[in-house]
Amino acid sequence: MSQSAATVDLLSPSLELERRGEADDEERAVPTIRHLAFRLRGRPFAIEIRHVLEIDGLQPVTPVHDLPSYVRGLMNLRGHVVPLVDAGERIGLGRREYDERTCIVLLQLDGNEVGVAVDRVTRVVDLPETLFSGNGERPRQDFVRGVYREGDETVLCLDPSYLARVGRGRGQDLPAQEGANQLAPREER
Amino acid sequence: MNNLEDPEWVEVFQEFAVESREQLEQAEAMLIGIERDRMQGRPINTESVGALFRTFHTVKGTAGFLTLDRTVHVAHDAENLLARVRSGELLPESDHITALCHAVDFLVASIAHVSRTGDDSAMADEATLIVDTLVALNATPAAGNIASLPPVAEPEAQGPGATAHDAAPRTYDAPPSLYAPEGSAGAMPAEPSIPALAAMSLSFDGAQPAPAQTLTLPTASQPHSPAHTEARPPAAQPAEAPPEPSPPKPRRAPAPSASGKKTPQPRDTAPREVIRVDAARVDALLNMIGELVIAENMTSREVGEALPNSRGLLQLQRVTRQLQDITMSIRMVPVQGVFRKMHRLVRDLTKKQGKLAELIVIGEDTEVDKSLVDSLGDPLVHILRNAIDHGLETPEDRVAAGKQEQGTLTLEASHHGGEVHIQVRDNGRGIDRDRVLARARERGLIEDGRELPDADVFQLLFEPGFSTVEKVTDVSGRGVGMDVVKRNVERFNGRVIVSSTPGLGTTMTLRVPLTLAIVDGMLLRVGEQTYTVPMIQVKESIPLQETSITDLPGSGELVEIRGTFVPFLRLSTLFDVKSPPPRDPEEPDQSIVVFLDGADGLVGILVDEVLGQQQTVIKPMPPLLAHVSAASGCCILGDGRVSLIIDGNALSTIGRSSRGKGGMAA
Repeated sequence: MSQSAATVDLLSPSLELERRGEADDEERAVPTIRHLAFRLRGRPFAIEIRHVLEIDGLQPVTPVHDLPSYVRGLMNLRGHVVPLVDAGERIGLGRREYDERTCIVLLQLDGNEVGVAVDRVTRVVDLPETLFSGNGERPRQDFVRGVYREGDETVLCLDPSYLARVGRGRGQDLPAQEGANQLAPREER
Repeated sequence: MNNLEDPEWVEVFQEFAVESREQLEQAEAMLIGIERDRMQGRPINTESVGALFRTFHTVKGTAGFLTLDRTVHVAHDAENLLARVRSGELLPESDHITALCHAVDFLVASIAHVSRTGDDSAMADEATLIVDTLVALNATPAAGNIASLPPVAEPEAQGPGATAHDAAPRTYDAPPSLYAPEGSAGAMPAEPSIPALAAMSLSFDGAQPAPAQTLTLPTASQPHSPAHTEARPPAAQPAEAPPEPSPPKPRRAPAPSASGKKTPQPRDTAPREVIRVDAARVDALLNMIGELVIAENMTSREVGEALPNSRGLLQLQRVTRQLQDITMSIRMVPVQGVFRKMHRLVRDLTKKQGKLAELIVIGEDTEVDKSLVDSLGDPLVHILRNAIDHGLETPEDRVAAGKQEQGTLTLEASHHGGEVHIQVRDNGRGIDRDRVLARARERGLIEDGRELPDADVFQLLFEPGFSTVEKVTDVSGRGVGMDVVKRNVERFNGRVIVSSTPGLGTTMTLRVPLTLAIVDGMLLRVGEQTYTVPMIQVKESIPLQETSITDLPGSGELVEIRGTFVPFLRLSTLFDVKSPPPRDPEEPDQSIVVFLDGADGLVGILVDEVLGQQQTVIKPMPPLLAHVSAASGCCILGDGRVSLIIDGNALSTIGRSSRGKGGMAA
């Protein structure tokens, strides 16, 4: 894949990423941003890996009052007390009980640590920078930074700071109006 | 280029800022001490003068290197004035002390300003003002009896004042011993070296005949300088310690005489080695120790069952506790720093108000957590201000009341178990209980005809906007202040207690926990949750079956405790806790009402079980959850789970407000 071909590719809002995966030696030619891919309620998502400190298994969670329901409470990650946000519920995909595949992605944003629960972590991908530079169609939800195609699935790149923003009060700042109508949970395959 | 962009400059400046701030803080106390000696007709403490001189000299030198011109000018002229004081040519009057205090203020301010902007040019006007005052004061005539002495060796001393010696001689009542005879003045090096200072301090403790006599220190001043023993010879410095910037100066300055007079504490003369450490590193260490304690807890539980007599485990437990204690003690600092600032406050305020007062400081060695020491300053300022403005009478009134003309303010710190008590006592007129009550009725804070115990009456003083003073002064009386004290102290789980006797004075006691880093907590089970409440807030706990709950329609519940009714909160409802698994109906109800003594009075909270007591490291709430009500932090339980620390003060406020909605009163 030559550089000019890549440029042409990048101009389209959704990308065929599998093709890029094979061309390891040309990675340097196209500036990329490394992302962590994961699934929520059967749908694929990705988040910029720069903000990810670590990935942990589920920890006991202490519920805390006065918080929106997508904040599950506080947990102890090796001595650090961090809030746990349920990513699926945060973006309006509804509540789901945790299982053994549930992972906690520990994010660090503006010096704050926040645990984000995802249904399962899939892999690490490098996405071209231009995906986020505004060449493509602007996503409508404020929690989506970019969209790309992978096989027959459309992957949404989530804004980490949206996930880590904690609203006040029970039931307030519900994510329902923010995009629940566009996103519907799918059965896990 | 801005200085802040030059890493080398920044490094030098930061060192300078830390050192200077410390020294300027001490400088203020020394100035006040000198003034007090003068007022009481005692000879001035030449050691203080020397230390002051060196402080300004050092600031001048480094500021010059950092090209902070305004700072240099002020320090230079302050130094000039002090050079004349040091040579005995000038006896400082109140005006001199005030001007020098202002110079200290300016230097502190300029350092703060420069740390933000990298430059002090914006402070030119203030600098000019202070320099002018200093120069004018320096031009005043010198003490007559030494006017004929040749000018001192200090090159800086050639200010405009140097030529004004023979102007109108004034009489000073200082003893002649204060003026160094020519011969001995020569024996005193312009910048005494540190070994010389150390030798001086040794001799003051009475061990040897003093080489310090050559400094013609009047013996009367000996008991007034107890703290100077901390000056140390450079040889004793550990190799790792940062090099002392030149010129050398003692680590600690002599304490002001008032404190020394009341509590003469001969300290051991062995030089103490000090390492300056970044507070963040100590915090990180403390954090890790907290983790270790938890890991040790978990190990003890897991391994302890299998090997109840494991010697290794016992050893681990012991070492862990000791490690925790040592780490805690690293964070402990004496309240001295805060107390020292109060001398200046008392001086300035009494002057302004035309009152006479002496501040006696007791127990300034008392150590509290570093984080706490910083938050104590504000409340103390308000309380002292109040004591001077409202508590102390004018000298005439005091004489008329058969008291000493000069009032006494006492500032005392002491340890009581896990708490530090800080008392501010005045021997003024005391609080007029009836006037406070009358004012409270006027403002509708309490109903007519209702009587209150003294303690409750005095608590009214902490109501926002409460003041019994008819005329508002520019110091206090606007009713702000005391409520700030209360809020501040409650923020770190402390409380304020007032007692007062009419005609004899008022005592305000701040009771604060020793540390903000560790809580002695009671563990409470609510449903499946475990909450922690600081023991300091727990008054008592009574099984639910032995109390009675009264329902206030639409506005909460009350619980009876020995005849009085206090707000009652069900934690499971308040904190929205999932209900516990259905209990065996045969099993007796374990529910307990825990009474918390909070900011707004007693409140009863219902919990399912009291699990016990535990000392844990307090973790602040993650910033994202800082708004969560009634939680002052969290801690990690023995099994690794997080427990919220309940804030009894907030609960007592919540209890009162929900009751208030119904317009009911107990």
